[in-house]
Amino acid sequence: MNKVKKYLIEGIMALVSLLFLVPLWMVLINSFKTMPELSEFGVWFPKEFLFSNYLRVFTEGHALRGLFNGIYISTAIVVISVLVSSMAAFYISRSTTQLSKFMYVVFIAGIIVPSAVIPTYMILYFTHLTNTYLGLILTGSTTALPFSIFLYVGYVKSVPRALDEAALIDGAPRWKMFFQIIFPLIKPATATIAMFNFLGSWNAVESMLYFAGPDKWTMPMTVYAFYGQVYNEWDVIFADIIITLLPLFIVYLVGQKYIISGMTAGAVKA
Amino acid sequence: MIRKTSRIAISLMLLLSLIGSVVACGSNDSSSTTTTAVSTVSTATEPVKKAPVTFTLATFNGWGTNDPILKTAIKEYKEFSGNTVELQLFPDDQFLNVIRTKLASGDATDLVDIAADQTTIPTTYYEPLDGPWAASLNPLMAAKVTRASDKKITTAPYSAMSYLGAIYNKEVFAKAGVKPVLKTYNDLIAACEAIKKIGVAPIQIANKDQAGHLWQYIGSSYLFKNESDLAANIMSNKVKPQDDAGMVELFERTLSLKKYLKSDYASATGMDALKQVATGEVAMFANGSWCYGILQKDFSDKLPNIGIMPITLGDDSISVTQTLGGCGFSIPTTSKHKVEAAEFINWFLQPEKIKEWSQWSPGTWPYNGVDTEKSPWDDEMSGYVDQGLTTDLGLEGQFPNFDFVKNDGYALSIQSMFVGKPVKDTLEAWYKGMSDVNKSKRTTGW
Amino acid sequence: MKKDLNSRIYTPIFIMPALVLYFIFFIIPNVGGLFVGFTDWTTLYFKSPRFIGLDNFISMFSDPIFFKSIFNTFYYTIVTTILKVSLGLIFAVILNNKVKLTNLYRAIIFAPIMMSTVVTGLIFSAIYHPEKGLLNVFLGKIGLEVLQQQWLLDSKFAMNSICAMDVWMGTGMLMAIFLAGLQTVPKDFYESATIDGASSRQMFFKITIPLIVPSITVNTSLGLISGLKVFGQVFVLTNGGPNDATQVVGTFLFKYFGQGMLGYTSAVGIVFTIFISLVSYFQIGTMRKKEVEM
Repeated sequence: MNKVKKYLIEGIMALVSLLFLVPLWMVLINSFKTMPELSEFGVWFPKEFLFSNYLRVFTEGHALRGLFNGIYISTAIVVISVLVSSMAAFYISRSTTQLSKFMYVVFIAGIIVPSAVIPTYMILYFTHLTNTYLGLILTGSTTALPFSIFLYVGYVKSVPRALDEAALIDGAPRWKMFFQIIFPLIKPATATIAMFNFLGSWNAVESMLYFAGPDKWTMPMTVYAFYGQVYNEWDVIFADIIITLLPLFIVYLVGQKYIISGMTAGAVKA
Repeated sequence: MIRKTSRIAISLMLLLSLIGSVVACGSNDSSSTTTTAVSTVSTATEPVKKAPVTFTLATFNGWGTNDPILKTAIKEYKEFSGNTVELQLFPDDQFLNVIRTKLASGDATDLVDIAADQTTIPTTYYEPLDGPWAASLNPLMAAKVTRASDKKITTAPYSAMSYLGAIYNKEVFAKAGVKPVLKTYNDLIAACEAIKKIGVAPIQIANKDQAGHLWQYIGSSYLFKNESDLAANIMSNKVKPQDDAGMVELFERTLSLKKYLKSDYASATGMDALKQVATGEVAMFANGSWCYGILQKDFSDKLPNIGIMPITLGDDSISVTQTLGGCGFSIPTTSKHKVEAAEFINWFLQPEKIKEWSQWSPGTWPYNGVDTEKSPWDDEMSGYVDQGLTTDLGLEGQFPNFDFVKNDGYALSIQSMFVGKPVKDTLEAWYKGMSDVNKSKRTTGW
Repeated sequence: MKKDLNSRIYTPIFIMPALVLYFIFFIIPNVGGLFVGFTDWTTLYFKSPRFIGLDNFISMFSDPIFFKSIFNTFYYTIVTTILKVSLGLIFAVILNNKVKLTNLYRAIIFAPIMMSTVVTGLIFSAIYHPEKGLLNVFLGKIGLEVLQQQWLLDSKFAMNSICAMDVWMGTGMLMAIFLAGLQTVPKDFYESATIDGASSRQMFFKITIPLIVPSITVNTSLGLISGLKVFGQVFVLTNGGPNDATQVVGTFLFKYFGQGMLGYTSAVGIVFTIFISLVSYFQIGTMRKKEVEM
């Protein structure tokens, strides 16, 4: 009986996984077909593997520029958001003052409040940061703050306070104490947050449209060269999606084993 | 406690002052209209000797008609002048808003290609334009692209003045015994019945692309002829469209076509519709003669079998509709390469260049005396005029500010009508759309 | 002594870099947005907004489409939250009990979190395509033509089709949080329960559920907030159509944003933010109470 149940569960999970895989498989396999063969979006192999779609993604879609911009901007956002939010979270979760409680609420509100695109654009305009990498990086880091702080605050709580006090007796400066002793201990949360922020900033579209011109656009924007209201070149769109997902896939492979450990204290015990 | 409140007060004041400064900065540099026209008449024909520059051109991924023209032009212009034009392609559903925001803040590209249309973008954002082409500009088009405040041209239109009508399959028509032109609404219904009998779907409206409104838009000229002050009254909010019996009847007649639509009308795109007419799955699809260029790409063998004809939803009048729409270049006042951008426009609009571009946009261009490629569809439409049909420039030609037919309110509400919105609600939704747009434009009377 | 230590080790300076960023690029724009909601600011008259009092709010509340979009947003939120939370919990419980290919299954079900709504939307509009789409093609191949539908174009199915895509996208994230929650449940609880002869169902309801209430709270909040804020999913698949059947507040707002009506957009945004805040406040409040009770 138990064995039957076990196989049943295994079967169900295999089926579920299939459901999750099929859409991605469809994109991959159809990206090697061209329009005439693509009269329906099937899941079978193409008659012949064609790379012409990929060639067009790089020549007409400026994929190299998109990849470079995406990696540059997203990496910068990850570094800034991790440093800045871990420090803020350390203060928020440790300090017992009213200020720290208030700040926690202020930051968490950012998860709820929708972003105000045009007013943010105005800020960039008046600080002369429109169409600059710096502007995109700073706004992107800010967008990443609330959720990062939320996860970090929970995680920092799992690090014993005694460590802070011990470090202080050594007489080290406070920032040194934080980065030498606390920061290494919250590495699982850092891995999770870094991964989410990389994915999030790589996928940001709205900010790209308004805050920067196409020379700063990241990979997901390149699809618009092929996707219009009337002209949908699905074969090239599929290839573009694959190139867009490729770096994310690498980040995901490296990062996914940290997801659960990073969340354990971060989201669940908070 | 006191310290806490004072802290909050201080931070609030800081915030307010910051916002204040933001608002103040915004209002300082208004009305920065430049009065000197960027004119470089002489340099249009000889290569520029200056160091090559790169300037940017923003446009959107629309029907794809301006795409081959722009790409070819940019390539040729680089060979001619050494200057590089960098094409920036925006998503078409967001282009207008993005470019309006960037124009307003002075962050736009050096050159923009939006539409030969003055109603969606404040013309104060543009440099006045001049060049050899300006003299030959069609007067009706010239009126459309000229700024009211100082009578300067601010947009240089390019692309043919398309005819609007029903693109139809000649073979299907012959088989069903239908002959163009269908001069009344009743003729249209009779033709649909005949086509239905031979097992072909009479009409495709491509509702996915909101193309359903086109049939009504083209077919409505009778109404505005019969009720000559209706358009003006709607524009000034004196008459609500839902209160006008003629308008209600027009919408009802449009909806009555539903039983003649191809079954996939809700999901079909404009491209699907063209394909279906080409292959004879559908008899008719209302659109513009610019579609000839699109069909040339994939269905050149079928083209002799496809025609275009005027349509009407009225009982007593039909006319050949031409449109003043199309693409157009403008130079933002904040452009960093005004001179080079103007040189590009002048080079682009030389008569022999227009002739070259017209292979992708065949028909009459809005430049008098300029020889362009014509498609058989242009001949067919002008043939109907020779047979005695009146021509009109569509509603936009007769009423230069009658732009609301193009905004979301009209097309969107008719799209909804075909999937179940009652006629009365459709008219109200259109009115709501018009009211939103006119309020945001601060039109008097709204 | 405690307070002294507190202020000696934990200095508010640590919060400054985050706060400066957050203040400039989030708080100022949003507070600015508050003011904008009372003006007729548009991209057409970018440099001359006028104060118009409550006009924006009045026209919002007299627009039936606005109420329709609120209803649709609620429908979407409730359906997707229930499905994502329950499926996420089921998958997490199964995958917590060492199934053979646990790691592979986990990796696959997580995978959609790396994709943006735009990309996922594009993929699903290809799947739902009435003639070419994988779903209808598949139904046709296995002889179930009767089930073929115009998934996104028929107002009966459009909303549920979008919900299905969101479940596909979002379940992995919630499952991850549940898995994290399950790891905090001590193994010996189950051992002693097994010795006492408890059935696996009893263990699930008497041990697992009470101990992972915090992760249920977090997941329900995340589900509710992301549901109420839904935009990309609907925008890419249907943009609110057909006939407003899938109009949600996010797309309603964007329709006016796209027309450049920034004042009106802000007003809708203000009302909606208040709305989400209230929902989250009550949801977290009741859930926290439950945690204490348990």
